[in-house]
Amino acid sequence: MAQQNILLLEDDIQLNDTVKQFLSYSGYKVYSAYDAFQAKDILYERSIDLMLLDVKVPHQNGFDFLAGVRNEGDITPAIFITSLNAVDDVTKGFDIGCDDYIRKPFALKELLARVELVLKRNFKTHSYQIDLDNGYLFDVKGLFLTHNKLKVSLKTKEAKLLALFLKNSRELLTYEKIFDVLWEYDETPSQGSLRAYINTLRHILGKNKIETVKYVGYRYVAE
Amino acid sequence: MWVTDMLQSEKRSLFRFLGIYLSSTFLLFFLATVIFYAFQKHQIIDAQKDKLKQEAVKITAELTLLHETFSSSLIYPYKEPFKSAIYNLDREYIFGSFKPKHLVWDKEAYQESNQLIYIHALHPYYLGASYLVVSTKLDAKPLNDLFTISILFIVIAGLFFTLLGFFLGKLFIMPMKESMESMNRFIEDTTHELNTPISTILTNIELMDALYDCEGKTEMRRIEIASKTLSRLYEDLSYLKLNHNYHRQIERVDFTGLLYDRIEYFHTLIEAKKIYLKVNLAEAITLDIDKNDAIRMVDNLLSNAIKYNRKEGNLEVTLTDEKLRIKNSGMGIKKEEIKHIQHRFKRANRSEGGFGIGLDIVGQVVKRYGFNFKIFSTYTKHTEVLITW
Repeated sequence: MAQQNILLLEDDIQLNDTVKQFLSYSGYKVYSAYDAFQAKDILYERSIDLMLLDVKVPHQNGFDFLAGVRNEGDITPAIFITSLNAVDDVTKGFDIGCDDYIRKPFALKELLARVELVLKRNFKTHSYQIDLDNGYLFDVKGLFLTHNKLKVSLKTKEAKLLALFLKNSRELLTYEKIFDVLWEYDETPSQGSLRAYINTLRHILGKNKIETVKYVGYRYVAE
Repeated sequence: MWVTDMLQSEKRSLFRFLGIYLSSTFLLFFLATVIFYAFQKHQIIDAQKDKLKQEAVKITAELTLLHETFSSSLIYPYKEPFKSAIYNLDREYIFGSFKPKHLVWDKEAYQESNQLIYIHALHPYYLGASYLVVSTKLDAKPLNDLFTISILFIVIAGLFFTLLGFFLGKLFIMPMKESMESMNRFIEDTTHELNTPISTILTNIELMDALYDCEGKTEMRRIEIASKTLSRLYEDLSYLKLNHNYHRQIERVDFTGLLYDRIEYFHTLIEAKKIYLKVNLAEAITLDIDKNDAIRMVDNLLSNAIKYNRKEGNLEVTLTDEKLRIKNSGMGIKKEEIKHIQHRFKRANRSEGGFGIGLDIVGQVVKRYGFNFKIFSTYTKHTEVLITW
């Protein structure tokens, strides 16, 4: 099953484990980091859909961490976990480029609501389902496809690819970018497999929806 | 608010110290200067009188000469700036370069307005004169100089001692301020460190509820209630601590929804005390308020209404267009205690736990938004809290 990846930066092991357990239970793949350096490593190795950042963490505080990430042109959405003491810093957080914040102590339900909301924004949509015509709906929470309310079986990478296209509608996606997202850092990307996935998606969505840009990559066209 | 409170009391004691210190030093300096001035003035005038006396002696000598030579032309000795006149034994005017309107005969030397007058008895009586009166204008310059110096002295000394007092005061208050600051830092650190464990407890209770069909439900509820109380205490402390520099986001808040949320938050507590809850909220009431302010106000009111309720009591929450009413069948508050109750750290009932900061927070929020806050209570029967806007 395709899952969205969340980077969780929280230095308290108990709380980190708790949040990880809860988010995993809610259907997300969670990568835990206990300090800023670990978080940076994970961000390089994995294709992360959302960052949950505590502010007071070892090596570098959450604000500086995000500022560094944004400086490198990474626009992965981020939610800060702060205490009320740091509420004044929240403005600072938004300036740096976070998408939301949640105050400690928080309820898991509230955290989940915010996570879902921010992740949904990746798809530039207001509802949790994207209409792909001909009875096809894509669920942005669970990253699965339905046809007339029946789940369409997709390979994990196919679902991820579709999600990637939907997030970057009308934008050119280079092979490099697609490989980065679809294949884990310890896997070897394969051009052949990618072509197979594209064919599957074209079969489902209609041939014209995915354009081939020769030698460079693909582009998803909504209409 | 703690910080500012402490600073206010610090300021108060600093001003008190300065007040006492400065007023006593000023009094001392003023007195010393007055005495110095009076003494110096006396000396200056005495010196001038001495001069006058010497002059009188000179004139006498000349008069004697005049008397003995019997020169055909009698030339009275004029000596500017001195003026003189001679009087006979009956104190009648004979001759002179001036004629004073009246003289005080029983004093040898005296001052009349700005004139110094000296009366010199003559022996023997030259030219039938028995008194010589010499007068001169009082030289005001040394006196004026003295006055200027005295005033200058007071001003400079005053300035110096004010500065010194201020410096000393700061010096005295420094350790107090430092301990205050370290206490505030301590509270801040503690609350901050409390944050994570409280989060862990609450999230894990939530997680256990969601993931497992736990057998120890009752025990879990107790832990939940306790940690929620802890969490609220934390929120209240942070709120008080940060109140003064916390950036409020005033927005239109769905107050009805917020109240439902908060009542939901307290439901475990309400159930644990077997309180009969009656909720009557008007739909879609909105307030322009910072959400956290609203939550702290509502939480504290509800928490009090539950805490000071009896087991199996009643709790009524009513919301209309212009008011929020929370009524409980609690132990009630004595009439004389109602006005004290809003102050921080004061609790109506000492036997209950808590810091008693609850109503203080409510009071602060109410004041900030210009709401009206009233408590009606009948001792041992019920308490009704009314907030109108």
